[in-house]
Amino acid sequence: MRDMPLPAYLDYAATTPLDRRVAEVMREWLGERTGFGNAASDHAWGRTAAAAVARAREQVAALIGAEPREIVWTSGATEADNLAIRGAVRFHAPDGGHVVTARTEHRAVLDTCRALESEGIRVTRLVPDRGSVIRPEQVRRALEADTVLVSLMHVNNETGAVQDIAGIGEICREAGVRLHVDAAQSAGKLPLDVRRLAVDYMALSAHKVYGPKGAGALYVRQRPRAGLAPLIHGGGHERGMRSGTLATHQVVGMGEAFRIAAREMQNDRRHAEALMQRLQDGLGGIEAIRFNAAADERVPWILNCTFPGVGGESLLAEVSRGIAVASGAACSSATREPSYVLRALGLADHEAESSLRYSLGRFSSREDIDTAVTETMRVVARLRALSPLWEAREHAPRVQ
Amino acid sequence: MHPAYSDRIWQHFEKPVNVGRLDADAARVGTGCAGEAAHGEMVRVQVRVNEAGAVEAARFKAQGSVALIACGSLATQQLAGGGAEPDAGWLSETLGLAPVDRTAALLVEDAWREALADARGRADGACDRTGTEHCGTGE
Repeated sequence: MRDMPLPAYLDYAATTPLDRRVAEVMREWLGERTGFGNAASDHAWGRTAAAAVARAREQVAALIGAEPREIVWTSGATEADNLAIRGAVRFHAPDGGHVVTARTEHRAVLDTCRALESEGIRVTRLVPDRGSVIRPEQVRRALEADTVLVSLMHVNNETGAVQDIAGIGEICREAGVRLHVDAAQSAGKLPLDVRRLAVDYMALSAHKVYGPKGAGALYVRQRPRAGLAPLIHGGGHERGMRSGTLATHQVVGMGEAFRIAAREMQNDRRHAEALMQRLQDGLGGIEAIRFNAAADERVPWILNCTFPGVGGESLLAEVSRGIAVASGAACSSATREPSYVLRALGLADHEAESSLRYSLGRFSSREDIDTAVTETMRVVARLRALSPLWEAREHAPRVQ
Repeated sequence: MHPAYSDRIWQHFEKPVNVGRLDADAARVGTGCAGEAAHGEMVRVQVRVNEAGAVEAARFKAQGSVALIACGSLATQQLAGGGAEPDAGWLSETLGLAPVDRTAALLVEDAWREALADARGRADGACDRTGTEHCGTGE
């Protein structure tokens, strides 16, 4: 591995590189003599750090149309999801109730819901249609008299499918049910304005948008008040919702990443659209390839495809020497099981296994895309030439 | 060669030997398959035996894991070259398979045993072709 060049990076949905501009701003808060103050301390060192935190809070809030005081810093989107779901249920339904989510959510949401189930909360998990989108009407039908929370993601991390957060929000608001949106994959990439959306909580991540890992935030609506019980106690930081000394450099990094994202969103999108077109055109030449979300219902920086006629593990093992892509979500790859998201969309286990997710971003190049296309075509062709099942398919009479 | 696999496994996966098919209708050629087409996993082994019943040529095709392809390659190499029988234990040990990959060795052993029995049966004048129609020989 030492002598091999690193593969082309096409896994932006897992994490993005830290933007150099963000790293520079963060470095100022890692110095020995300046920037180390505790933002909660009432002296010059503390006040300096507190001012930087306040500025970052404004930057994060501005990106989603929120007020700064509606932003609660967390260690990432996973913690934000935990805090929103558990915090909302504890606040509004301490004696038990009902939560609606979907089978295609991130594990941060699904595992939190499962934990709540073991504590007596009932959970409905919606199944999206083959296009991987949850329709607002499905949400309406799932609501029950004691539903306290609907938790759905904005952009699916595996398929790139975009959910109709505005439509789902209206239904929730009408019914008096709170809505939590995991926006880890969309914040800084799609326009988001919580003033126009009936969203009560929103999980945000820094490292999906060229900021540092270990930094995230939860938006908690003030008017009408969303309500939230804390999970972490000790010191009453973040207006009592999340105690613990703030990591100034991380927070500042997230603020800068969000500031840049707000300014460069259109450019980033145009860049992604052009490269995605190139990727799709290239991969489209592979016989029998299937795209796992409709082009008009997904973001132009995530592409999930199934390659019939190859074993999934073989495919990933060989392509990953030339390109860094994901088989299902990174979190589920570790367990070497087929992606539960793709299975929820109706794919068989082996179809899910022989699927790859390509995700690109700000620093992706045409060369990266061309490498991805060339490598994928080469590996799929080689493995199909080895496959007795593909051979049988080629000998079988064609149905017109 | 690959951070997650032993050199031996990767070598057979990347440059497998004996890939292809023998004419399944030819005399003294036997075909054996193992795996589940519906699960996207299948190995086919074909062997041709001489009049004494010894393996003259072996071919395989496989769709599935890295280990399955590597086992198919090594097993056919061993069958055609003579020497110890490439049973699942020998394949696992020779390739250094992880426990999770040992089922691949079992599938390949099932396939070549079926192929060998089929070939020897045909060499003896029997014409039982069990098990070949489901594994992609196009028959």
